[in-house]
Amino acid sequence: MMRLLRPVAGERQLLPETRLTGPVPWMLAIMMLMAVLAAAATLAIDNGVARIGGDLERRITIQLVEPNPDRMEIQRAALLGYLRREPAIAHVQEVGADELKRLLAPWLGDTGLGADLPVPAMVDAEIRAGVAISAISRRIMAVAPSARIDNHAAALAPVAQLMGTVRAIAVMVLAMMLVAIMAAIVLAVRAALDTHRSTIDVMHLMGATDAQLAQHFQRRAAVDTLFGGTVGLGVAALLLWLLSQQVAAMESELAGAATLSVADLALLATVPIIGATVAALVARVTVIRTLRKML
Amino acid sequence: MALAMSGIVQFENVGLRYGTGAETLSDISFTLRQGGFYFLTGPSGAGKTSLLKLLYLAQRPSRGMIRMFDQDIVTMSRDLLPGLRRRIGVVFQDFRLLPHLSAFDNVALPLRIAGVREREIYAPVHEMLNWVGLGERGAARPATLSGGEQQRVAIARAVIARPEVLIADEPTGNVDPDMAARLLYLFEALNRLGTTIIVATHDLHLLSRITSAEIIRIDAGRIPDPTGQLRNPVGVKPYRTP
Repeated sequence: MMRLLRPVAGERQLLPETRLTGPVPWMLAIMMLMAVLAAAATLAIDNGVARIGGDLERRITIQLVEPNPDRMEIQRAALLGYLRREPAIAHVQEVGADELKRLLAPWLGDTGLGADLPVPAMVDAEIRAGVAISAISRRIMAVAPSARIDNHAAALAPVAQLMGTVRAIAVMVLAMMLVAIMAAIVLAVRAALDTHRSTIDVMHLMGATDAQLAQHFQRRAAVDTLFGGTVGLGVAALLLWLLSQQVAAMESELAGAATLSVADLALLATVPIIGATVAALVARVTVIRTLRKML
Repeated sequence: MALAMSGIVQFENVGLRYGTGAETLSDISFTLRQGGFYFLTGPSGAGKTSLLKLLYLAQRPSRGMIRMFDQDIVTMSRDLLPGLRRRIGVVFQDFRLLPHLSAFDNVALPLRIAGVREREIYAPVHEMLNWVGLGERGAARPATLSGGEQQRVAIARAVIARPEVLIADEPTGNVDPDMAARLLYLFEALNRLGTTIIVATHDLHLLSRITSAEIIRIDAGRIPDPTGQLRNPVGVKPYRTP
């Protein structure tokens, strides 16, 4: 890569070296920004979907809706006893009375939460991977007949479907951006070939090979794309940081699931290098295909 | 016509047509021997430039056979042409200096294309610029040079890599008589070292300066002598094809 970006003195003399001016590097920067954002969205949604498919999908919430407080207490104790003994249950968390009142307060107000208000008992449980929720549900109903079981996977199915759709769109945008970047490189290289046509003719007549000429254009494309990619990556990093701050402020477990790992960030950081390599390859192919039409 | 197979350049019944138009060159046959000095003459529009293009491999013929350096140019793979072109030096009539390069870098260009190391470039290029009287103008861009200076840079560029064949199109058209004589001396020196020289010119004075040279006269796209035998300047013993 460094050999590609830093020509030796002689190679530098073959064709005019243009500086990073003009619209192409900036156009590439915008495209690379979009590509990085699309890639980040794809990775984050992948993480979110994996999280939903993992932790959240295996969770259930059990409500005991029993008007008689004594029977409620008997069933609550039996339920908690069963869940704590059951090997298929990974984690049990009873939602305490105080927590329930806190959750109900926005609707009932402080005065509506009297001691005589029949509040259901509530328990969250996480089932181990590979265990059928239906089998656990049957056993829960046996020890606590007034239990109502909310399966998180069923509740989250539409969310997972939405995330899948958004991910597909992000992948499509990423693919289109890559195609657009390659198209921009092809157009820029063709324009440069036209601009330097007379120089190329002279160099051909002096015995320059297509590969020698292509070397210059592929270096130019790599440098421009690396510049655009670095700018795009920098702006994308800023936008992603701002977005992560807003997501963190939401304190939403679901939104928080769609985050980027260190490995993901490292992968995104390679986007300019990957882009520059692809751009160099595209430029080389474009130049050689064009030069082959000449003698 | 029997052609000498030892020639460095051989044309046999060569025709050249641009697009669907009439033939610009027709039935061109001749042989140039290695180490020969040739003048290409003829009126404007006779086909000199087209013939030169065939010689410096900027064109392939529409028909006929061309051999250079014992290789068939007509059917040769395009990938092999750069190797042959490096054995040919060309002085274009319009110079074709690269405007983004200094005089030094223009002259150094054939060496750089050939992959000569940078540390081996300075001395011969500097020497060549001195030879053509431009030793102090190496850093100048072509746009700042006069027509004659540009022509000398073009000549220096053409000969710097010691080509086996040197093709020059009106090489003395823009220089004063003294410089023209000096350049001709350079061509003769190269010729004595074995370089085949082909000079297209209208300059009758130039034709008379090199008494050992042979003349290829072209008219209306043809070489008038039906035998293909090259003509020689008046008073000079004709060259016989071996």
